[in-house]
Amino acid sequence: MELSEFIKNFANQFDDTELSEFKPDTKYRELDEWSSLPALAVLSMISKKYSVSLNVSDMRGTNTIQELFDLVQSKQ
Amino acid sequence: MNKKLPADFHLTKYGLDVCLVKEDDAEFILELRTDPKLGQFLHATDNSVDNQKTWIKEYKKREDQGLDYYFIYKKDDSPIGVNRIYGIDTKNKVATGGSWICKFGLPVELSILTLIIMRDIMFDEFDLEYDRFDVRKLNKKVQKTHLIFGAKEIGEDDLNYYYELYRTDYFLNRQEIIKMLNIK
Repeated sequence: MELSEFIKNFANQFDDTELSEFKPDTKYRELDEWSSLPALAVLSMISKKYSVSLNVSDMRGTNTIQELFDLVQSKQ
Repeated sequence: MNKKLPADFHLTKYGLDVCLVKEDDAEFILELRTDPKLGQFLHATDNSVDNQKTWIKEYKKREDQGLDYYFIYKKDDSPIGVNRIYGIDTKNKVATGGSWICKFGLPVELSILTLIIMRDIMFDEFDLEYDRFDVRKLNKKVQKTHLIFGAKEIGEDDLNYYYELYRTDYFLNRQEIIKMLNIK
């Protein structure tokens, strides 16, 4: 599991945010586009592409994309 | 004849209270629908509380006929969002779910739950087989959300994609989504 690929998959769940804004240290909940819909899309993407079941509480325990990546990796 | 919900319909589910919209809700609905970001993919709304009240009053006639229902969702007595089930056709077991709009900044669970509750009403209360709806082509986030619920694209025109969501697909995916929302 590669961080760069995870960031790309994460970014694909957004429509208006520039790709350059998605970095390991991006605090994703602070993105203008962040809302319930991308949140559900990210959880669904993680389930489908990484076979890891996370929920919104798990997600709330992370701030950055790197932290979310680490969490997914730890559950694989 | 379509099954009818009572005028004082009230449901408490997943910590949300669901009722039919009343004239008193006009200001809240207008606030949502006229927000440039929230309402960008909805039909244009007249920017007047009185006109919205008149619209709701007229809408009650359709609710009284069992054709359409306009729901408002409240958390701890504060309104958080609305959506509609309309064009209910119990003979062909189909209706349209739409006009879904929620306040900004809600916890992730809440806005998704308003969609889940609407579909639960559609499939459980009215025993329908599918939801037939359209989404503006530019409204990509909502398209993704419906696909996660199992909707299938059945067509398109210049403005919209057209979808159907069958109850079997909905309930299959709903279970997974409820887990993602960490709803007990």
